[in-house]
Amino acid sequence: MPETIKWLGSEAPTEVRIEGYQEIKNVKDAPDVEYYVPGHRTCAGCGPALAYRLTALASGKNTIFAGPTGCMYVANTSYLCGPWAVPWIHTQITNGGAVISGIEASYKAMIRKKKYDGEFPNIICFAGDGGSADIGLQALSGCMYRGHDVLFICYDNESYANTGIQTSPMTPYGAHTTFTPPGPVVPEGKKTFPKDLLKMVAAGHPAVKYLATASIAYPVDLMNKVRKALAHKGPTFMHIHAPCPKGWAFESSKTLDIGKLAVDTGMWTLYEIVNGQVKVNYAPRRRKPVAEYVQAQGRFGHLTPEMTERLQAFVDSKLAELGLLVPIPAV
Amino acid sequence: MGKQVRVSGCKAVAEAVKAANVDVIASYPIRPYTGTMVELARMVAEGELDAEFVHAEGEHAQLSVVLGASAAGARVFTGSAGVGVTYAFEVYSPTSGEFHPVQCMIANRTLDPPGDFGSEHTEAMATRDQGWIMGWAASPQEAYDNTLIYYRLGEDPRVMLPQFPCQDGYFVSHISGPVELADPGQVKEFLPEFRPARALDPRRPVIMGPQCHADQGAAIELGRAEAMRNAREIIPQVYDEFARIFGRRYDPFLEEYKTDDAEVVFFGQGAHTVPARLAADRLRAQGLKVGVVQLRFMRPFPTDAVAERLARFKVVGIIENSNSFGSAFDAGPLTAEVHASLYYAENRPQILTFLAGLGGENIRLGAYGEMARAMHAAAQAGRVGDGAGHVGEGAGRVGGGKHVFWLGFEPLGDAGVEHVAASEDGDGGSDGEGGGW
Amino acid sequence: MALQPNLIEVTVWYRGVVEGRLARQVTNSLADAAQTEGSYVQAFDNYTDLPDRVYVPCRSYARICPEPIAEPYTYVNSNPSLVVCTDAALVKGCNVLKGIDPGGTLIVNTRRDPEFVLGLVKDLPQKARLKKVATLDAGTAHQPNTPQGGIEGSTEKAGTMRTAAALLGAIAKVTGMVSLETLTKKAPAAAEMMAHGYAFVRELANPDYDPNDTASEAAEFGRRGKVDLIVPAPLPNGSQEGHITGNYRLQRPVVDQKICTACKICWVSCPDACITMVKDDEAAAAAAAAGEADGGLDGGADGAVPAAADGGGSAATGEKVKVNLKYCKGCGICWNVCPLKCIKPVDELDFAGGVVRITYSI
Repeated sequence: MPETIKWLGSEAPTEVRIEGYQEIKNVKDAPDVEYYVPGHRTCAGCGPALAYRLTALASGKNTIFAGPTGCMYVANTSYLCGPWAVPWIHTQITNGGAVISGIEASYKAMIRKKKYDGEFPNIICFAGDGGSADIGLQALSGCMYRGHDVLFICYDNESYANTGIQTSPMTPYGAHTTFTPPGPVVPEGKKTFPKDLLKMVAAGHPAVKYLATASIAYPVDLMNKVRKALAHKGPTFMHIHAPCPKGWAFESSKTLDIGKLAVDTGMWTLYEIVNGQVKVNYAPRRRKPVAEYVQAQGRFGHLTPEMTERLQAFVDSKLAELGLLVPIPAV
Repeated sequence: MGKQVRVSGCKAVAEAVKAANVDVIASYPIRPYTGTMVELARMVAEGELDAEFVHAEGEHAQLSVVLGASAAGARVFTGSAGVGVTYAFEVYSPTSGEFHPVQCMIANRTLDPPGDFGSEHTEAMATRDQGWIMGWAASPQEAYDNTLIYYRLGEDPRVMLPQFPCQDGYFVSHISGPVELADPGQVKEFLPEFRPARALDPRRPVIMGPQCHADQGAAIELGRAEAMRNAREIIPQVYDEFARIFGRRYDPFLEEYKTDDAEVVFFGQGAHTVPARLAADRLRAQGLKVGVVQLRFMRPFPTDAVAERLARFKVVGIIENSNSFGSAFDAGPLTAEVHASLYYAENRPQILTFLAGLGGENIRLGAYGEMARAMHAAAQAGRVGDGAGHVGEGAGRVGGGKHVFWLGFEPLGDAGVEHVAASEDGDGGSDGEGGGW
Repeated sequence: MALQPNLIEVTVWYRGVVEGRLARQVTNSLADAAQTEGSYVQAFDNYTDLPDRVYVPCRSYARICPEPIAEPYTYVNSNPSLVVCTDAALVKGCNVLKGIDPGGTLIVNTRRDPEFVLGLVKDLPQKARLKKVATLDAGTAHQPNTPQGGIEGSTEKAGTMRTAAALLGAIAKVTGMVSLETLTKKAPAAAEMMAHGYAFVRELANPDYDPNDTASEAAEFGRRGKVDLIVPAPLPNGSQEGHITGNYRLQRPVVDQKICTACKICWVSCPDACITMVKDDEAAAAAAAAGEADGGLDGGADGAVPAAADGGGSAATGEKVKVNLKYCKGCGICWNVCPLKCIKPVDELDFAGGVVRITYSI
């Protein structure tokens, strides 16, 4: 465990309470009742849709979803219907964190005042990167700070994909979006590096005792993290990498390949922060160069070797922080 | 018979929220409504009220928290004022569109600019088209009663709309007055427990607020329009029930004062209708037949009642406490709605509009006198005046003489009144107790 | 067109995202050429199909009229006289001939012949209004190499026109609504492909065309009556009937049940929950059901067609995996992740069954 990030909430006084965590051992052991059912207008090969499905499999029947505006609202409900077999409510892209705060407060009060005789439900906000790291950040922060017993998930497809692939704070350096088109004046397209959302949430919200990154390419890991997060009393946060065939320009059959490649190159890392302690869940045996990830996607088609090097340097610095900076083997 | 106390409008609302046994409260500070939340925080801390008290990170979040809580089945309360009301704007339409009967009190305050602490209705009026029930209290007692009445009305299964019970900041919210508190038995009879037919309950899953096609949009809007029409229909029943249980009878739409023989009436809502009553008394002593009509609901607007009941006066003087820049007659929303309501009336009164109390400026008794005399002059002439003014020149001349006046800034038409200074530290003239009476 | 008899409506059906540029090249080029020839024109995308999603059936439109267009602000072409499909599976999966003008034409980009395409048209009243069917192998659409989107309403004609050019040549030949000369003049670089399309398009007069059927199908007025914004949720393990997605599919996953080890990798990887694992006691029932599986119109009962049913495979005993073909979008994740490569993509057009129709209003 690297010394450098030990301070992340580890000194906070709140106690950690975990109840009813049931681990999924492998794919065969996974629950098989679907609460995110077929019949939604997401893209063929949609990464966020798979993230939703896996989350719903893990969280089960006693769950309420809130869905801020984004692909997972518009595509899922395009025709005045929705594919969730559990309660779902639309929220504005701005206020997912606040709406789940209200739902949670309502259940606390109603159970205490004996207006509700069911069990306290799992309350999950399933927000895109815009609804989490950008316009929804204030509501996310308020929710995490206040200590509500909820899970906030950011499904990260690294752009405003619903409106047609516009840059968000999670869009990687060098990506072509329709708001960052590369041209002679701006050869790299997206010029800035993304926010570190998990670190932001971890560092400034002492009530949050469980945070995790996950990827749809590692479904069992993802489902277990959802369950762990829900088992923790209090606010928890997950950041799920969800490749987007439309926005990143790759073939719809390659969604999981791209997700794996992201982890193998260090563009994405799988780790948890449990009560301030960082735990890396997966370290690729053979680290691959970022160039391989870049070449697999149309959104990076314009990058020069120098730009790819800048991206590599950024990735190296992030990996160093997690103690994962191993040499890239020669091809 | 409940307990008699002397409290401000803010405190009165907190007492009513407690009586309504609200489940979830979302707070954020902004004057002048804050007093209600401070009181509620104390009640929760001391165990007087069993509710979740959520410290929202802004008004937008306040409204979002109570939306979520109401969707899950709780009775909820929040409130705001001034720029806080406009900051939360995005959330108003989803709240009414998905039929969450949340209650958000507004203690009025100016927007920025002028940004002072004074009461002005503009911020609340800006939200009037979002599908919320809205009306003004003129006293702490009305503020207390409205809280209960609005919950009852909004939570009716035929309505299920959110509500903005408004009170003029400072005038009502901060100045104490006598309030009779309800006893629990009365409240229980008047306001049954909130049990929405559909909530976010994993035992009976529903999808709330999905996207729709363009050809479904109007059909969805129709539902909200019907709910608002239903509210207008059942408001009289709710007031009857209220009178039966609490013994206080209000006219559900238009409270009238000394109108039986009145030729001219002040028309307004909220705090300013109270001194208008006193002014009417004094003016009557001088032989002017003045009355007062107090509007209870801005939404649903009682079009028929306004048309039927204002038609019998010679002149109606609207006390317009809200700007709507560039609107019909360059006045405010109340002016536009009253004119529109009277369009089909057989006998239409002359209408004068007084933009008064803007920025929270006090309207002193003397100013009511000036307004009444302007109305009286118009009644005598059988038409609105020809007077020209330096403010809003040319405004309010459609189809006749000038009839919109910025009170205190321009002469009031044919009344022969040269100057009205409304401010309490204004430069003399008719201001003050003695002047002009 | 009762309202404006001289109005020519052209509807191009295409696959969201991957063929958006192709469709817009066709509609914009047609409009440009017709404008050059002196007509009033419009070209636009169906707004309610947007935002487009990968493989979702979408529509791009052109309107051409000798006089000003009477209803310029409507979302849809109600009565197209030309329908163009960028692949033949769209004819199988969607109601592409809805509202077709009497005497209308269907042009499809496919290597198959017009008779085959005509065989995909199941709606007899619509079929009776269709005068001509034509097919052309114009190649597959160019897979975009930059992120697509935010381009609705764009009048782009950028990029090399290949497939679009060939389709334009075919349109000129079959309908004559614009001339090949004008098209070529507007896009000289694409002249060769246009000429190719013009020369190689295969036409067929529809034998079921009824020249006496001259009434246009009435345009639907939107549904009336109050609509609720709170709707019931589907059942667990159920499906959302409000949006049936099988018509996204160009290729169908076919599982070799003998090789399959039921490892569940495909199951856990499907974004649409379209793969279910057959439990032992269900296997026999599934085998029995296999015989009767063939879908009808409007999202019929082909929800759980075992691949063997019309894929020519062996009997479905020992079946381990079921694919929900009513909803499967054909994204290809399953055949890509299968460690044993026992799931194979097969052209949707190779199966007679499994016709699904979009259930929302089109």
